[in-house]
Amino acid sequence: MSKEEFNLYLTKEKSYSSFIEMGKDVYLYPGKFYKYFQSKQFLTELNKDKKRYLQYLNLKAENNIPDVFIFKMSYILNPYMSLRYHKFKFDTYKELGEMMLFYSPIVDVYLKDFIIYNLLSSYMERLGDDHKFPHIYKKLKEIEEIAKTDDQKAYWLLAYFLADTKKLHYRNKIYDSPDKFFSSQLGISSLIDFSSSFLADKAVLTWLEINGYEERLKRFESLTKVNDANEKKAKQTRARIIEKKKAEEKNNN
Amino acid sequence: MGDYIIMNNIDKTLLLAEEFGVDVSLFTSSYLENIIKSQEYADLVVNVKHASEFELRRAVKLVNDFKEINYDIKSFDEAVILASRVNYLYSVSDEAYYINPLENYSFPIFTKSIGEVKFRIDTRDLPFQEIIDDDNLTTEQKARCIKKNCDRFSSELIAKHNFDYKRVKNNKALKHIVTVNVIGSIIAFLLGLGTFALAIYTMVSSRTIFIETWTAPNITSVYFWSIILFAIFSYLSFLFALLLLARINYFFAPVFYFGRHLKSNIIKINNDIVKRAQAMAIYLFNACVNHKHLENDISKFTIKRKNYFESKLYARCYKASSDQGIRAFKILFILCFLLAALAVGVFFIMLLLVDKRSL
Repeated sequence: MSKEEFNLYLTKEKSYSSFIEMGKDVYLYPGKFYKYFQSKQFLTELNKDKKRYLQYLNLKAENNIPDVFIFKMSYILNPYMSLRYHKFKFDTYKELGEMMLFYSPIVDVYLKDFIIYNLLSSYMERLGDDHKFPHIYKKLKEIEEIAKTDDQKAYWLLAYFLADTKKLHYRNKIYDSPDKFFSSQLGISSLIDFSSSFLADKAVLTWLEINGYEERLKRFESLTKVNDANEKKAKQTRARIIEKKKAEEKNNN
Repeated sequence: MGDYIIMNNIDKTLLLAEEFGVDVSLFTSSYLENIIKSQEYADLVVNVKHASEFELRRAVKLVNDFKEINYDIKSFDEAVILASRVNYLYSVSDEAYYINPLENYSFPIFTKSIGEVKFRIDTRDLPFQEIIDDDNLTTEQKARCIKKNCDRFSSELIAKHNFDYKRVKNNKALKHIVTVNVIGSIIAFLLGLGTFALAIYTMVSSRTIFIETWTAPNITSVYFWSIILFAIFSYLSFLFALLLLARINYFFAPVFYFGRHLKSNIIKINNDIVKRAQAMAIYLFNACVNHKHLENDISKFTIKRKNYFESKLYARCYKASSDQGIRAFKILFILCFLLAALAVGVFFIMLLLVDKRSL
């Protein structure tokens, strides 16, 4: 490791003497660091570390969105630190899973980035955790594939897998069986709240699938799909009949 | 006007909850009520009644499917299935879905143009005008659609005629009714004719007893009255036999028609259907090419031949046995024939047994 001193000034009040030190804080000030990483001052200092500078250029060439660039850049600066992203810091993978479930049924947009931009798998590869935790890495790669078509479901699959739990986390409560959960949702306000989002957020649907209720879910999905299709057909028929009546009335007048 | 049947997210939640053993019976009855009171259901009932007039594949299926709807709902799941079924049947209960533009209907129909008739394209059923107006479809796709659907219309009608023909041909009960009535009326006719011929014989015969009756009538003579009454009643029995025959013919004309001309006529009708289907296909293809708006052309390609296959004509055959006219003519014929026979009997008794003389 280079023992060279660097002059890295994020702000007048915030400065760092090494890239390692700076890398630890990137997740706390993502906006500020993004601007800083484009600055002449930073590039001048970075140029002194040829290896990091080359990695920086390669990263720039990838043309990532700013959040992804910041994440990857932080690990170019400090490849040894724990998982950090947008003010989130996790010492273990389980902590990540638990944090994802904490917000359930809401999907945190930044935590979702771990899956959809493959940030978590690239972190594991960089640290060598793909060999240390092969079962996690393998599952993560499967989930990243699922995310290409269903990112909501992928999110919850990862959350429950990393948290290593089969209990439902929902609005800061924990349920261990579907009937207890659904019974609790039949009150007027909770029914309206739950029904307005459960199909979109997929928190509960994914949990049911994880717990082996796939068959029942398939039946539910197929019934609602057929019902929706027939509703659509009926609506189209109705619209045509109304249009025809209007045209006839117009001709008669 | 009722509301429409729409399954919202609350309904979906209840459906899912029930799947996991939660009791949602409180919600099931109100959901079921919404279905039965809905505008779709009300319209469906009216549409099915109208569809029952049509003897076409899709119309018959609609009517049967409607009859098979299960209203004994015990769960939310079953209520959802019912709602789905009602919506689906409503979407195919529109006359435009099942009407065949080649068929000649003897009752009022709502469809005014072939443009309204639903044509199958890929997996959808669309009014043909929408297919004309759809610029995303190539001419080739439209041509294929036209051919497929025109073939469907012609084969449906041909199959219907063939089915009706077989239904009549193999109908043993109908055959029995026809046989009994026709043979009966022929026998009556022959008997009536026979007695009438005999009456004519008495007028032209050179036998003295007959000449005396017609040229020098003796009103005190039994022979006179027996011959006159025989003539009158034989004439009447012949008349009533003719009327009976005419009435029987009225009821069984379709069956007679079949018997004599069925095979040749059915071939002619089927060929006519195929020709009209081809002409319709050309017409529709030109409409596509020229982006024409079709109007008031529903009868342009309908078959003109009288449809002897209509089941109403067959229903007439079954009514023959309870027809007042046939009964009356039968009774009157039998009465007159018996009276004529009685007159003949009296004549011969007098002649052979009383006077002991020959003709």
